[in-house]
Amino acid sequence: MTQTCGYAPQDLAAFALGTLPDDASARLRTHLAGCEVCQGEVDTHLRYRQLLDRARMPLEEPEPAMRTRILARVVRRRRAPLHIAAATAAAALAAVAIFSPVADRAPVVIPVAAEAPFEAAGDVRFVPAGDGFVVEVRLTDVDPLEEPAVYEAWLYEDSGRIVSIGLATPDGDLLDAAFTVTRPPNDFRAFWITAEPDAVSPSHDGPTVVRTGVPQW
Amino acid sequence: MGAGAVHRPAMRKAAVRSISRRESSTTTGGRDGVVDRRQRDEDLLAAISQHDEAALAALYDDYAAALFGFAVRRLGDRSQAELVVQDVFTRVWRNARRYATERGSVRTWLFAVTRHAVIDRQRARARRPSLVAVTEELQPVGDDYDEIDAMLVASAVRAALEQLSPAHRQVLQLAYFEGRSQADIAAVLGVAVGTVKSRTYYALRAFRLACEELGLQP
Repeated sequence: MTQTCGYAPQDLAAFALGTLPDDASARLRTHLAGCEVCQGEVDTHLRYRQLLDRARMPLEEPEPAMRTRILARVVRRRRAPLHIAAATAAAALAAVAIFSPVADRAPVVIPVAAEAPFEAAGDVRFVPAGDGFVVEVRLTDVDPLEEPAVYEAWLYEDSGRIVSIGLATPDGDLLDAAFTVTRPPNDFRAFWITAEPDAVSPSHDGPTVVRTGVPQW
Repeated sequence: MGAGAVHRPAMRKAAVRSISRRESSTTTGGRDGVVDRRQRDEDLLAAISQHDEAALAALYDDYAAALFGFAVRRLGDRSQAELVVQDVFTRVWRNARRYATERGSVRTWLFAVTRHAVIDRQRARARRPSLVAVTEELQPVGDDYDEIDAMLVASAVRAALEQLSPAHRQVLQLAYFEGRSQADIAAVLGVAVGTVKSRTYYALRAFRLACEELGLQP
């Protein structure tokens, strides 16, 4: 677009877009064979033409209102980490109070200390909820982890299968998270939390931070 | 206790290697269309770490469409996808201070967080989330990143087109996307062929400038 040999730049653009009439295209081709400047210009147009093609990719567009919603929530949420997990737990607990047959079973609080080299300590509360239960974890002196590492909570099934029940990110050195499990506690033997080093890795073999048995009420 | 406790060097290196390979290919323009705004991303993140809400909004405008598109494709559900985008930007807002340049680009970080948020949603949705099932659903990280990358380019091209004047956008639509001839376009618009020629030229030029502003390289 900056250089020109005198050939009409409009024709170069039209040629690249494929809208130049056939006779004019033929004339331009002859010219391009001997003009590096115009050929370069056409090449650039062609690359942008290919870029235009990328706009054809089917892509679900977010609605404009989503921007307002998300930005408002995100900024408001900055002092309320893990609110989703907490809200889920609260909802589960509220449900318990109304109809759960196991609601009268008292929550079990198990003090835990992290396995080396972690230094976290705190407690894990198992709270009956409906047919299942909620695991509430409160740990202090938690390694904040560097992005993209996260803490992951697991249950070890009676069948020997390992089930991931959620992820948690500490707020400073405090990890305060709740995980709702909809199946009865008797299905599980052990609960533990690992530090997964890399959120992008699906290998899930991070070291154990804390572990405890699951109460059988 | 060091955060080093959770760094398995081999794994991290492998991940970093695949990421840096991808980024070097994008900066050299090996594919048709790349979004290169590393510096802008880092500047925005630095501002976000100071709780600059406008910077958060700017980063959202740059990335939300691509991340949302990816999440919808994976989850097949717009409201779940919105929660993914919300998770991602919540994390950005809270953790911007902890982001360190040497660990990879902001874009790769966003992709990683998005991918993880999608997996998290898939897991939460499964009645009986099992590690086995989740692992089977996973695509190789590189494939997911390429897919988000492609969506990033697509959304950036659309953003560039939106910056054009309606007349320029229309003439590109007719000329390129509908493949009409100059005479045809002239008839549709009720203008002279010469006008179509110059308008097409200026539209393409405006598109190129808009692309440059958005860090979009052909």
